[in-house]
Amino acid sequence: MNQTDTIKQVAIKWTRIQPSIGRFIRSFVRNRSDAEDVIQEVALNVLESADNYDPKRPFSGWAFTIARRTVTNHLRRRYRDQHLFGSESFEHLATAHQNLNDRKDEMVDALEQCIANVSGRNRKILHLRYREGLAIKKIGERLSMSANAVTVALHRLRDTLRSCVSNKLDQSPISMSDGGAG
Amino acid sequence: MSNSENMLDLNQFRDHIHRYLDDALTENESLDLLKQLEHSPEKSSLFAEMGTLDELIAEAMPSVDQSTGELVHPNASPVPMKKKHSLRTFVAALAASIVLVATITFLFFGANDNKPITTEVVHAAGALWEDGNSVRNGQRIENGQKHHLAQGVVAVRFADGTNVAIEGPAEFRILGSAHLELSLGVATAHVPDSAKGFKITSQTATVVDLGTDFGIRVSNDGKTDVAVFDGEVTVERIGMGSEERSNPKHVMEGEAIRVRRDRATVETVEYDTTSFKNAWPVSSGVLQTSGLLRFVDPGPKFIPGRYEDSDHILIFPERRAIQLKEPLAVDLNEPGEYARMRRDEVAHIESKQIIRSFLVQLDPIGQTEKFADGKIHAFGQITFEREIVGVIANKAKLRATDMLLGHPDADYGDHPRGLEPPRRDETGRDSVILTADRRTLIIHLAAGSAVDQLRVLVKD
Repeated sequence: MNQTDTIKQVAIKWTRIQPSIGRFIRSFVRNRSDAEDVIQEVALNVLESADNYDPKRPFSGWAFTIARRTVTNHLRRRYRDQHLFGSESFEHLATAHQNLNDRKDEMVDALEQCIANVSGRNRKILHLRYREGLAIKKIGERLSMSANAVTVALHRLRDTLRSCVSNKLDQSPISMSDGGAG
Repeated sequence: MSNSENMLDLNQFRDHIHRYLDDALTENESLDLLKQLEHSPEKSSLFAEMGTLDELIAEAMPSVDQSTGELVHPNASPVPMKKKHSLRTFVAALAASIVLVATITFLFFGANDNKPITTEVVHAAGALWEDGNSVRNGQRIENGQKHHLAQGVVAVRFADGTNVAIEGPAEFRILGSAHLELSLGVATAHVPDSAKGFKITSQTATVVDLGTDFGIRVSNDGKTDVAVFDGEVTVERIGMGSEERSNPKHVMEGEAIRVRRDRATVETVEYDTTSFKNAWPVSSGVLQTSGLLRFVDPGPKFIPGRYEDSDHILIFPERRAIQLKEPLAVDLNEPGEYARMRRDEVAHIESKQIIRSFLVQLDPIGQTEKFADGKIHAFGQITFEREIVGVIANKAKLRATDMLLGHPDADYGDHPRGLEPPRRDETGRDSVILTADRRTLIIHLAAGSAVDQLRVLVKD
């Protein structure tokens, strides 16, 4: 395959893996603006490294390796400590995100069903947090609850939804059995 | 570590993740959490799983709280079902191409005053509220309430079709279906003909649109700068005694004015659009560019044939709201790569479609890179707000559509134009890829050729 074709193939494959890599990056970089910058940086690194891509090997593993290195460099800059993260940092996390990417659509379907079973004040907490993007304190003000009460409720809701999704996905946890929903 | 200790450790780690997802950890606590991931497959899996679910919950949540059939906000009136259905039907029949977020905006119309209770964010780029929370796409902006945007750009679509991009730091309130109050910050607006009369007020001025694109910048001291990119607005000095109010001043495209708290008149100033370079692409329908791509500055100077930039691949807005009277032949209308088509294959956009056009001009003489093959390469990616329905790259098709879809004041010249599709096994040719979401183009220019052009057509 010539260089131009390789770049085209890489560009097409990148568009498929980009959402998963975006989630991987946002899990480290909570500031949306910074996360978008890092995603752009990964995209450019992927295109510029297209010559090194071996089409016989899975694209996702190759792209996640680039993403992992880019994130590591970002975190070193962010925390101003060159020795903080090793070059192979977050290999396990990248692998976990790759595995989850394969089941993303199933997870969304399962989540929709699980969310449909949440009602009353818990439903309002979910809505205010995930649709309106409100901070815990603001949710408390809206619903006349203490911030602590909202925090506890939100944590329980996340655990419940995680457990529900795990059960719907063939009764097997998404990725692990320990530390499960409590 | 024993099994029970391991379980305890994981449970504590899970609690940390919850707090991380709440944005409640300090910087050192976040750092400590990230360091724990480095060599632990179990913790990495848990972290990936909880983080992914947290993102997917937002995706899976319906925009309206369907458990109660009401808006969540206790002050918001329930939406009468009859009104919802009639509006939904009306919107669907009137404009099938209006995106879902706009439809949702219509659903929040009040029953009596025909004003929206809320308006929705259609795009947020690096945007944070003052309390540090991210602005999310689809997030509702409540009427009458003051909002403090700390940073980034937020695009809001009003019910009448007006697109406004607001750049932080900014303070604003939405006061109706066609009225924005901006007390601090930068905003750019595109107001379609159907929404003439859209108004932005600051502490010192009222800007009334007469069907146009314009930008406004409001400073802490009340100073208000307005630049008109296209069309015309009126500006009136407010906030002084009635005897000192100015008559509305007409400001035409390519002109700029300034209003100060300590002066009773509206001053004419030099046309300068530097303040609007981040917000203007967003209100024009281009959400993001990367690589060498650059959206041109607003104004009558920045149109094809009048403006060139040898360091970038330029994107020019051309025409809006063009309804096709007959099917339009294009070179690419499905996700994939721009490629040579067989004679019996015809890609076209169906008639009656309402579209908007942009010209992408590839003239990257300056900042290009040489690859191992010795050829010059330039990359870029552009994401539009609306769905891309067609790309025209063929020279003859470009010329044939200049009259209908080109900028009315542009000079497209007689020089070579367009991109030839690559033949099978041919190397070193340009490449254009439309991604699966139909909103992004990936452009790879494999040679530093002169004035390569594409016309990109999106739904309007």
